[in-house]
This record gives sequence, structure tokens and C-alpha cells, in this order.
Amino acid sequence: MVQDTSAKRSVADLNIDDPVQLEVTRNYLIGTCEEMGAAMLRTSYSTMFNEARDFSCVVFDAAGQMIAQGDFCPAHIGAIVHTVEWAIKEVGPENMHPGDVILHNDPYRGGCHMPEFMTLKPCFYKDEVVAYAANIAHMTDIGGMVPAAFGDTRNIFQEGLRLPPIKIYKNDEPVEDIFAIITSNVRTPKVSRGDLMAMVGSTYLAERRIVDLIDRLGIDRFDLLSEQIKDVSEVMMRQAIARMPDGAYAAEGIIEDDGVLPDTSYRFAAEVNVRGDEIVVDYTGSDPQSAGAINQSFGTTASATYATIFHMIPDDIPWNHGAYRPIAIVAPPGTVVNVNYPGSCVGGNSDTYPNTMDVLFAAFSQMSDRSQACDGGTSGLLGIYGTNIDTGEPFVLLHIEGMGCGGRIDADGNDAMVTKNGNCLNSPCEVIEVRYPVRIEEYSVIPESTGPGAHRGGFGVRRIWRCLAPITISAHVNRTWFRPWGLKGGEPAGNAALLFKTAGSDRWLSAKDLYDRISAGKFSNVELDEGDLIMLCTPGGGGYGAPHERQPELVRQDVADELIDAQAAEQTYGVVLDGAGVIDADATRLKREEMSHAAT
Amino acid sequence: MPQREVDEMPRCQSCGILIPVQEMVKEHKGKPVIVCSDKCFRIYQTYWYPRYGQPAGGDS
Repeated sequence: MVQDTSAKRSVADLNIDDPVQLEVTRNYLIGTCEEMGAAMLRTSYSTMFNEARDFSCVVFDAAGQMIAQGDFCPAHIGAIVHTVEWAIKEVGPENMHPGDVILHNDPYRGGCHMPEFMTLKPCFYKDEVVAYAANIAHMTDIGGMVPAAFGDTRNIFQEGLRLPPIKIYKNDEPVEDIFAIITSNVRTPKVSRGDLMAMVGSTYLAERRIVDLIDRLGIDRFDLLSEQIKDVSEVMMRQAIARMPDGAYAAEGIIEDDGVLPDTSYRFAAEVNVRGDEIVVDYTGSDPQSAGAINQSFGTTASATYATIFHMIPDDIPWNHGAYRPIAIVAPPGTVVNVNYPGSCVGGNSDTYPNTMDVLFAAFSQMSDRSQACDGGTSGLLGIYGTNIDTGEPFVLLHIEGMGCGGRIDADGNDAMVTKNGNCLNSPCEVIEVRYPVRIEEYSVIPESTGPGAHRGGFGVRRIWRCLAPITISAHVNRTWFRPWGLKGGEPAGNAALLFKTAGSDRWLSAKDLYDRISAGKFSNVELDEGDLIMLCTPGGGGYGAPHERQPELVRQDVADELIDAQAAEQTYGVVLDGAGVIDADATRLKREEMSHAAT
Repeated sequence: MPQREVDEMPRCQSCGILIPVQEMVKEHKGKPVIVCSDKCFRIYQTYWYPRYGQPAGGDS
């Protein structure tokens, strides 16, 4: 152990005087965050908010340290500790007044990427700032050259409107000049204003809850409990890390292209250094930043780091500022993990982030069974822009697609799940069809997408869209040729594919072949006509453990569910089924002995 | 609220984050080190410098 910064080895050493009150208060604050989320869900305008739930809500103490978060989006929760801290310092608590709300979306100031708007409300009690309520939420359109931002942008100016910490509310009134700047620079002003107001409203709700709490506890008690909440998490986190074997665990992965330079991939390197009760994650060795949008801001890299480590520890540790204290990051500036101004980074948060987590999981797999095989690793982002047939108003839809998760020691990977960094919900076909001029002609799992394994990867999905009116589409999709890897003998999964079929044609072609784009997965502003079709296939997850070690009954069930066929059951998994779909035990044993022998 | 432009902000020499305001200037082995927090200065001393900061052959 290099240094024990906590100087407290167990929760008992913290001398908590009233653990019941501490736990009730902690859960009250988490409940406040969840209530903020419910308010945003019900008052927002965009599909990203009220279907995908791409937002996070948190409460910070007066020192600007997180004391509670709801179960929201991991991509935000790591960055928000940096954005809030720096926004408070930049604005200055002495310049904050009751009724203020601060807005911020600058990825160079600790944020994730520009679509993630952060609102921050200082919470006052008797004229003193006693806490902060904040949220980060994914605004669908932020202006710029690409509707919904994701495509082949080359710098931050092409991505949209960048806002340092500024006040959008003063004295409980909107600063209309600021709102006017924002709504004048986006394609869907009504939706953007509606979503922003939902964010602001939720911070007001949180302030009321915090004031109610302090009315009951008193400010001194509230401050003490806030400290205890953080200290308990820190001690539990340090105990969990101390149980990991000390050492350096390195891994790397690639992002296959950036949409700007043809056929150029980018290396992401990470070394996890476990040192007693703390972890240093060092990204030295990662490639210089790319010309395209795949770069990660520091906030994104921090989020990926925290989220992966939280996967590796017991899930009963409350995630607040204390849990982050034992984690340190080294992210060399000017690389794909810490972009320099004015480098583009919008895709880093949504589509590179899962790759970074996969790299870290691969590193952790060298010393822990809690790790997992590689995920499908893309958010399958489609930005669709057009005019609503019924209203004549412009719309922007940002669609995120589910993919297969990697297998793990005790379970198959999840199917059709939005990446871990998003933790978002999928948008139902019916909602998409009602709101936008498209029809979903197919939405299904892809049997061949899984990575075989003792615990196989989850399945990716195929979705086919029919345009009912002219639209413009942009995309940011990874793993069109780089396959999600397996772990501990598991096999890699299938790739992503984004294809188009023009009205009257019988051929599916990529944007590279059909529209002369540099990348099949990352491009901007392709014009489609009524009747054109879009097909997005997402990757599955890699397998965990050798396929011939999969329980035969699970293989039989996959065949019965038509997820694999009998031939794959025999050739890949060594499970022989008779004509009625019943396991032939003797033939299976012989086949598996043969496969096991071949493997050694 | 006067603010620095991002290209005027220093980077933390340990973690690499841009520091919008209130950077710390510490001294390590007689040289100034810009960091964003006490935690990062500790990581600089115990991890970053021993690994990357020393010239060939060490400077002890």
C-alpha cells in the first residue's frame, strides 16, 4: 500500500453516532434524485428524455462533492463530479444567489460531450448555499453541422453550440437572452426549450426536498451526515480495492475508424494499477487524438473508468464522492482519451466509451472473475432529421440501438441492451412511428451475432426502417469490422452493419458504397427519399469460457428458442440433438471429448 | 463571471484534466508542478513522477 489517505480502515472507525438516521438520510437524498428523474421524464419533450431516459440527477453538498445519485446513466455520473466542481469554482459560490440556475455543456471543462447539457442549482437555506442539485441530460440537437451531432465532425465548432458555465435563471426567472441564443441555434427550438425547462424544474424540486430535510435535521446535522455518507462509501470502496491483488494489469483495444481518415484505426491502451486500497488507471500509450469525433474528453474517460471499477466491486457500496476518492486517472492530453481543444469528441462519450470499458474489463479479467467478455460496443447512433408530415414542423430524432453484452462467469450476456455507459431504455417502435415519418419493418435479434461460449454473448439486433418522407440521416456506429472479443476461451461475436436500399432497388449497400462516404459507420447528412430503407444490425457480445463447456441443456434451449440451429449446437457447442430436439448424451460426450482434445 | 478560454487553461500534470480556475502550483524536487488537487499531487509524487518524470538513470 502506497498511502492510506482515509486513515480509517473500517466503517466502525468512523464513529457514526446514529447509523439509522444516516441511512434514512442517504436514501432520502437518493430518493430525491429519483424524483428529479421522474419529473424530467414527465415534463420533457424529446424521445431522448422521455423514452430513452438519457439523463442523470444528483445532489452535491455545499463543498461541491456528490452525496447522492439516482440509478441513471453511468456516462454522466463520472463526468458530473468534474463538471459540477469546476462550474462551482468558475462561477464562484459568492456570485450565486437564490433563484439562480447555471447551464454548462463544455467538454473541455470536465463535461462528457456537448449534447450533455448540465443544469446546476445552488440550494439556499436562510441565504446560504447548503447544497447543489444538478442534472446532465442529452439534448437531441445542439445546432452544428450534423442534426443530433453524431457523424463525421472534425472539430468542436462543427458539433454545435458550446456553453461555459452561465446563468440561465436569475431570481427564479429565465434569462431570456440566453434561451434565445440556444433556441436560435438548434433545429428544434420548441423541443430544446421544453427539455431545458424540464431540467431546470427538476433542480427546483430537489431544492425543495433539501430545504425540507434541513428543516427537520438542522444545517449542522445535515452537514455532518453529508460527510458521513461520503466517508462510509470511501471506507467500503477502499476495503473492496484492498481485496484485489496488487499489480499492474494492461490491455488494449481499437476503434476501427473515425469517419474522417479512411481505414485508420486508433489504439486505446489502459493499465490498471492496484496499489493497496487505491487504483490508478493509466491510459499512457493510447494513440494521439483523431481528426474525427471518436475522441473522449477527460470527463468521458473518467466516467468509463469509474463505471468499470464500480462493476468490479460489490454493488452495496453507495456511489457518491467518497467512492471516487480511491480512484486516480492518468489520461495524457492530446490523445484519444483526453482530447485537446478544439478537437471533436461528440462520439467519444456515446460510442467510444463502451470500447474503453471493454479494454478495462479485459485488464481486470487478469485478476478478477467479476469481469466479462467484450460487449457489442456501439450505441448504434442514428440521427434523423426531417419534417413532420402532420405538423409541418422540423424534427430531429436521435436513435440509440441495443447490442449484445459480453458473457460473464455466471451468466450469458444480455441481449439487445443499450451500452452500459448509456443504461438507456430502447425506444418502442410504436413511439417512433407515431412521432416521426418512418415505419419499422423489422426489429429482431440476430441469431448469428452472439459470441459462443460457456456463457455466450448476448444477441445484437436488426432493425429495418422505411422512410415515409424525405429525411437526412447521420450515423456513428462502431465495430463494422472489429469483432467483440471473447474471454477465457470464449469466441468473438458478430459485427455491426449499417446498410441502405433505395426505393426500387434490390441491393443492400453501405454508405461507403452507395453514398461515397469514407466510413460505413460514421458519416453525416445522407439524403434519403420516401420508400428508401435503412437496416442497422448491431453486434453481439463475446463469449465467456469455451463453448464446449456450455451446459448442454442451455444449448438445447437456445435451439428450441431458434437462437441457434442444431448444426451450430453440434459444431460450435458439441451438443448433439436428435430429430426431436432431445440431447443425445452419448454422442454429445464423445463430441465434446473430441473438441476438448483438439483445444489442448 | 470572467472566464478563461480553454486554450489558456493549464493541464493537471498528473491526471491531465484542463483546469478552468484555481490550479495548484506545488513544488516537487525543486520544480513547480501544476495540479488540480492535493490528491493529484500525491499521485504525481508516488506514481507519475517515478514512472515518467525521471530522466534516464534517475535523478535521486
